[in-house]
Amino acid sequence: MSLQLDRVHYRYEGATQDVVQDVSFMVEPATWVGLIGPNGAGKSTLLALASGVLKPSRGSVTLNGKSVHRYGRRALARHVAVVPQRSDLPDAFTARALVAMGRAPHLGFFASERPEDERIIEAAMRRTDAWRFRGETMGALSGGERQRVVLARALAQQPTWLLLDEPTAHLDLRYQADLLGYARRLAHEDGLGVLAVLHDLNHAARCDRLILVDEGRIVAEGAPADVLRAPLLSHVYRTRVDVQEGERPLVLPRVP
Amino acid sequence: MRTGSLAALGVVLLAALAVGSVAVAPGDVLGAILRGLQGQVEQASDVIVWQVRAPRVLLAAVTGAALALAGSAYQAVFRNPLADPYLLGAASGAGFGAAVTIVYGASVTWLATLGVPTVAFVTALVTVSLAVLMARVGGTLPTVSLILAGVVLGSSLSAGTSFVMLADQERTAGVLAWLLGSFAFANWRDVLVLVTILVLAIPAGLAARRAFDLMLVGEASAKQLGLPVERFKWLVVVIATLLTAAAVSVAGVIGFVGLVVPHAVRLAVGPEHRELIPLSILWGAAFLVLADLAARTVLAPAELPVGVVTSLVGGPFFLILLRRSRMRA
Repeated sequence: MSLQLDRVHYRYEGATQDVVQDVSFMVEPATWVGLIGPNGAGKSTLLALASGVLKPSRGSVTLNGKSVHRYGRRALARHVAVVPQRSDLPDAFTARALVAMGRAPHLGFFASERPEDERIIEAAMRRTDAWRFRGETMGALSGGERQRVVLARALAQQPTWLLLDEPTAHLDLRYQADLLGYARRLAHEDGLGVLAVLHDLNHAARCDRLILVDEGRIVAEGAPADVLRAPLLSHVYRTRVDVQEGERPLVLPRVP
Repeated sequence: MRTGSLAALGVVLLAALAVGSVAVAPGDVLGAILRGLQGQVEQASDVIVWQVRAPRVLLAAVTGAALALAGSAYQAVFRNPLADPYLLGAASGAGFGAAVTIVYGASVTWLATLGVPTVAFVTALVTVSLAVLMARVGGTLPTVSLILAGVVLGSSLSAGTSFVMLADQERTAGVLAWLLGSFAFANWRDVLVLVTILVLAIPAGLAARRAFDLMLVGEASAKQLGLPVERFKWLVVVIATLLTAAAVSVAGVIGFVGLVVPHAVRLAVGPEHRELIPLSILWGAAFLVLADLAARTVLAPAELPVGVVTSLVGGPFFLILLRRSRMRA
């Protein structure tokens, strides 16, 4: 079982250059993989390729050995769930109604929610500590609460793989810590394969494995202690970086 | 809410059957309906109810249902609160076809033989198909291009309609009356056409409630939640276009219903399509029956164009509703 990119290239329509070049990696169940790299490196594009929303110009994206584009949308959504960086969340929807959308891939066209679905929705919302504001409308929630609702929606899909696009962006410290905690536990306790685009390299240091991309290519891959090294980061981010080494390295940019 | 709205629609229908130049008591309306269903149309009130009023009242109801359903579908699929059933050019296409038929029907016999409703239906379908063909990229229908193509085609055809009207000013009034909408020429055949399409469209619309909800979170997220977005958009455009073309071809261009009824429902019960779709259908039907009732009674024996009534009365009513819901929030 794995979600695998194999020699993937991607070029946006009308562009003259590939934004993703010859990228191969794999996400196994029960692992938390961090995708890092400077702005414009192609991280979000890689996530869109992995979720089947974009189709590679060359190469293949496979889920359990079968191309993600050979799955129907519904079938794919039962395996892979995505928490986007920015999502349009209709303000007038209640938190619970939004999480209920996560059941769509499991329900037939005409079917109503079953008691089983209600249980799954509640469990997902409790998991992300969103159950207590289930009746609130999305417009009334803070950024951190909204992110928990979107994560609960992804969990309601009961996926095997969870893709997170900068899940901690714009959140305060507590919500950042909570979110990273959810990601880790979902991988280690629930056995999900988690792939997260992360901007904060000290968050990334918590992952099991890191993939560092620059200009559409993978430049390093491995344990955080191996990837988060000062010379490599200084080169890739084009700024001087200090790293306190260890099992969980601490990355500090030097302010010029 | 659904049961209540259904009952309210029933009351509105009965009232519309009872009121007119000759008043029929509500009891007699019920009696006439029961007798008519047994194939007996005997008394004068039976004839009035069945032959004069029923086709007109029912046509208003099914037209209102069709426009409100198409409008709520477009507002969800295009994620645009300004979307209405005429967004992709159906009304301008039908209007152009109707104008050409009314103005040139006298000299071009095949046009007159086809008749205004048929020509209007075909030109509406052709216009939307053109917009779709222009906007299409491979198998996908990019929303922005589609709306732009529809709006631009619509303006061109409206200009064409104006040109045709100016070319023969004697018949201008006839074209204008058609463009403003009327149920004065309602007949059972028109009712049947719309009912046939609604029998297909209403179950589809009710069943697609979850898909409409998913469209509200954006196309990429909807895909990631398992919705085949492109296929769904095609389906909605085809069904909504059939509904709109049929409605416009039999009743003219009745504005406002398809735009505002879904918004009114949303203000009342929220944005989830489980409620929004069925209530839009019921309220759209009731609203247009009432508007037509006003159109034929307010200045009786003269008639107002029903499209004028919907906008004139519905506009302020909606603004009050909007204002009150904002104050509550």
